[in-house]
Amino acid sequence: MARLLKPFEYFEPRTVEEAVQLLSKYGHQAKVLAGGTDLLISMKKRKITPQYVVYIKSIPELDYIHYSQQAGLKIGALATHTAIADSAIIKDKFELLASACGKVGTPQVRNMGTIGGNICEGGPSQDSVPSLLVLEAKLKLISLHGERIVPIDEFFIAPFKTALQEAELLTEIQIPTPPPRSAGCYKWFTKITTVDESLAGVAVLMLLDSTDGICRDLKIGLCSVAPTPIRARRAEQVLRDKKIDNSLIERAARVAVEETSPRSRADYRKRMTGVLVREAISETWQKIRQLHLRERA
Amino acid sequence: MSQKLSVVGKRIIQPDAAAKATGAAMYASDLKMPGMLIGKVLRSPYPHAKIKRIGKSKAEKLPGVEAVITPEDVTQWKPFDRGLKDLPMIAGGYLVPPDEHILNERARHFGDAIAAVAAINEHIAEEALELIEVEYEELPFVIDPEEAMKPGAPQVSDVAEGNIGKHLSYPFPEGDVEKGFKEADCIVEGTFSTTKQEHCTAETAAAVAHLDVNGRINIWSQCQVAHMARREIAHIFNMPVSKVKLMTPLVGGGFGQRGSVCAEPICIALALKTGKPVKLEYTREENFTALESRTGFKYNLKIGFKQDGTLTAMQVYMLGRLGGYMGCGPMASVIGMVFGLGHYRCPNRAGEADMVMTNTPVSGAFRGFGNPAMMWGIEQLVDEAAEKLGMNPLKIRLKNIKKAGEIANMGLRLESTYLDECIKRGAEAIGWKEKWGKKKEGKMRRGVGIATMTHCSGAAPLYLDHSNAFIKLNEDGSADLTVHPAPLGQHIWGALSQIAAEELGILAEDIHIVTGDTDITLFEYGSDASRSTYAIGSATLIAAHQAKEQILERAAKMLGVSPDELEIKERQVYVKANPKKSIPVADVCYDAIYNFKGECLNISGKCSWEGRWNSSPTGAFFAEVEINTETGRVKVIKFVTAIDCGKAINPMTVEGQLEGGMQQGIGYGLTEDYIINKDTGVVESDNYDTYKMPGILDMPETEVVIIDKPDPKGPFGAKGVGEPGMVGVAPAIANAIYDAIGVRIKDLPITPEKVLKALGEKSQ
Ligand SMILES: Cc1cc2nc3c(=O)[nH]c(=O)nc-3n(C[C@H](O)[C@H](O)[C@H](O)COP(=O)(O)OP(=O)(O)OC[C@H]3O[C@@H](n4cnc5c(N)ncnc54)[C@H](O)[C@@H]3O)c2cc1C
Repeated sequence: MARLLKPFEYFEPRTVEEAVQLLSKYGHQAKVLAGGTDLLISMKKRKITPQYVVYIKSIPELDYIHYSQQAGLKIGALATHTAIADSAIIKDKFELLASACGKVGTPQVRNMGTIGGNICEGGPSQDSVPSLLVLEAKLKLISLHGERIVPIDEFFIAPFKTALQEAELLTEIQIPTPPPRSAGCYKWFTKITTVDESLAGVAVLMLLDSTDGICRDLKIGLCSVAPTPIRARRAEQVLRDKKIDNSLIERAARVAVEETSPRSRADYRKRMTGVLVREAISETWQKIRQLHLRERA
Repeated sequence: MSQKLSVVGKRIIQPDAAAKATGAAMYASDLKMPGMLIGKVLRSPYPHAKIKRIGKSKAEKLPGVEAVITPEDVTQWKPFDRGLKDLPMIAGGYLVPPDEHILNERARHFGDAIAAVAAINEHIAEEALELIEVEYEELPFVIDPEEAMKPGAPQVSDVAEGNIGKHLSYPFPEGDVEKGFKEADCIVEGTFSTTKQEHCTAETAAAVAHLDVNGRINIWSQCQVAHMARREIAHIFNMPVSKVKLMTPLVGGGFGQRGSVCAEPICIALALKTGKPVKLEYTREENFTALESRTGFKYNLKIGFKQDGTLTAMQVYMLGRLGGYMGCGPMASVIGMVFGLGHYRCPNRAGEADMVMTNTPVSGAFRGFGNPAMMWGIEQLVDEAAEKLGMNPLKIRLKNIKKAGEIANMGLRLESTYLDECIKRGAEAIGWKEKWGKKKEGKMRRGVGIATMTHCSGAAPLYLDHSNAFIKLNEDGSADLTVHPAPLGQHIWGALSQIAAEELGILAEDIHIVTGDTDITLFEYGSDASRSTYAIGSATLIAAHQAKEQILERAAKMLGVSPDELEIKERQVYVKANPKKSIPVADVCYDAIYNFKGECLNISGKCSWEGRWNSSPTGAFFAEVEINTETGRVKVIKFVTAIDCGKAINPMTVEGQLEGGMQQGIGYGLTEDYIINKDTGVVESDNYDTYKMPGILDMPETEVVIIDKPDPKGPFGAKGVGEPGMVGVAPAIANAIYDAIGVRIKDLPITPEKVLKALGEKSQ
């Protein structure tokens, strides 16, 4: 890895408009720079050598976390992992996202790295994505031609390839409020050491009927076990509209394993997906039951 | 030695601590000189390739580039040996003529140096590298030593026929192993393998070189063996030793990797070509691929025991992977056999090794040398035998460990050993009685394990164990101590100051260390083989003693008594019988220097010390682990190292060494794996994103137990403690895993996959 970056022209736009103008002017030769925790490494490794770098942390309007019951959660693309992990509202209502962002790297990386960068990097092992998948997040993308909203499960195409078009900027992540009496969690194993890339990550969001104990809805999101982050939709079906018990959870975990296609350490990743899916569903189930108990009390 | 000590044994703050804590400390990578150029090296992307053509004109034309050198530009200089060039001869002569050039026209491993540039800044130097056009002819390559030994395998070196770098034998064989195994009631054996661990020094290799106005090479070098590096550099560049001035700045970690010349040859070549100062600082990837790292072994080990646990025979055959050049790698097998087969009392011992050349980065010295590799197997087999014989792992070890006065691992007298106490006190600290051998159930299972070791304090009698110290007293009663250890972060300056101050009766802060310049320092073998405190400390002690006698003699005259009536305490010379009668050391020194009565003397002492004995440090390692039987993940919960390093000159630095050793040992045991792609020969784990050292969050609760009993030979009873800390860590973990889940992992590192596989096989 080289120690220095190749020379490039550098911009610090103040508004989204200015940014997208620069991006469309320079097309594929331009690259967006947010926290730089992914981009600068790729540039040092010479995987990418942009001629123009458009720094977006200079745009104050992109760094926010807003919530209202009706509009749901809106996160600006520049919100850092630290901001999300520490946000009271996210910890309370979207805990699976807070724990995913709290898992990323080290404090330094979380202070610099943004959720927008995590999504747009588009790799298989982006930790925030499984939670966003099960929360059915939508992405607001802006270009000179206007704005479009893309559901996150349509965003990932292939490893490091996303639906983001040239000269398009991700500005906001929109997350609907999960229904009451739902709960979720994010579980992961790292590759080797405690602070490390995820070997496998699993997010689960579950809606349980408190009267009959039937699982009304279940969503499972996975990262690091397929070319892109995925939903394990067949596994979700195993539990949906069923009364949950341990053997069903085991079955869902087995089905989820079949839905994976890891590129390396395949056997181990598959096996660990099974362990994580089982643990994540069990933990979520516990959480909901406690929630119900608390509601009744 | 029931001497009352006032400086030795104290937790003093190190002389360089403030500079390091504030960032003011100067390392090679911090050095700047007027007009200094920056060097960069072009390295082979192939494991084995002939350079058919190098086009350098584009790079040369880049403004700011001052030199582009290729293999044909360095032919006037000699090929070299990375290691200590006399070492092989003493250990039975594996000397193959050195055949590594400063730049090589046939790349023998991924990362081999092909060309180099010097430019006015780093940016231009990096750009220039990309402009050098190389036409490679890829050659068949071989990665695996077993493959390399087969007939028809690609030849790595022209001088190592059949790729056998050297066949080596255990230098201290004893008895008749066949007879020993016949006498045994229980024989355990197994095949073990170990990895090419990388040193992961905090600072990468770096050097600054320039040719001064007198035509002398000035080189700032991190080398752990400064004076021998000077000799090697003079040899390579066809100069007399007097034409090389080697300076040692603070070094950001060595662990044996800086036991060889690293960035120096290319850096000097660039300085000679340009006539300007050049700095060459390796990237992390170069540190991984261009330098030596630990020798990986595969070995068959067999041990015999009597019914009562007494050892009858030990035998090993080792196969080691050397890499593209010889380096220090072959010695790792010899040292491994010396420490491993010589650890316990055993009447019949034999060992052989084949060290094989492969198209992989070079193998060399790394903390503990071959000791961690050999104890990885020995300590697991001892546990296996204990189980077969129905003995407790502690008991079987206590039965076989040597006692003071027996022949030690290096063939010399075992001066002192308190390994029995290490075993007992370490076992207490880990809670052995309550935890070991208990029935385990459930998903998460815990276990405890032990391993022991013996190491060395210096290289005697295998290598020239030659150290020097010179000390002079200033007119204010302070002392300048001239020595040349490598300041690698082990705080050797502090330890030597304590030894000198203790002997002189002054304070550690009164000692000023003069060091790091071969023009000034006397010959010093250097800082490896856990020898600095022991060997340089011995020289320091004797030099200080000489100076002390001069102080006493002059003070005696001044006080009107005889020298043996005096003692020195806290900078003051006292009459023992009448402490009211005294004179400050400073007054004695002042009077000696500014003596207008015709009796001038700069009080001083000098010692050339050569190790004729070697006090072995011993230690016991205890791990408590927790295994998740669903994921195969191993977590070290607690680690205890109980060490007999003689008298701890500074307990704080002993703890530092041992805690650091735990971290390296846990990495060796669980996380670190040097991955070379079998199909391409490319090193895939060449930075910390792919090569995983344990981080602070992976560290267990740690405890260091220092026995702290003086050795009869070491300075103030000290023994070596630099390397021991990592030797027994991995086998203690492996034994703890066995205690927890009943499976044995014999190839490093212990990955979750291996644990799950072993658990699967066991349940079948
Ligand atoms: C030591 C270390 C540890 C790490 N650990 C983890 C981990 O545990 N889990 C994990 O998921 N990641 C990890 N990462 C990766 C990285 O930190 C995260 O992916 C981070 O969220 C990236 O955000 P950033 O703001 O730094 O992105 P940048 O590096 O600035 O950008 C990343 C990519 O996204 C594009 N981009 C960024 N923002 C936008 C936008 N608004 N619109 C369009 N394109 C955009 C950039 O052009 C670039 O291609 C780690 C990185 C390091 C260095």
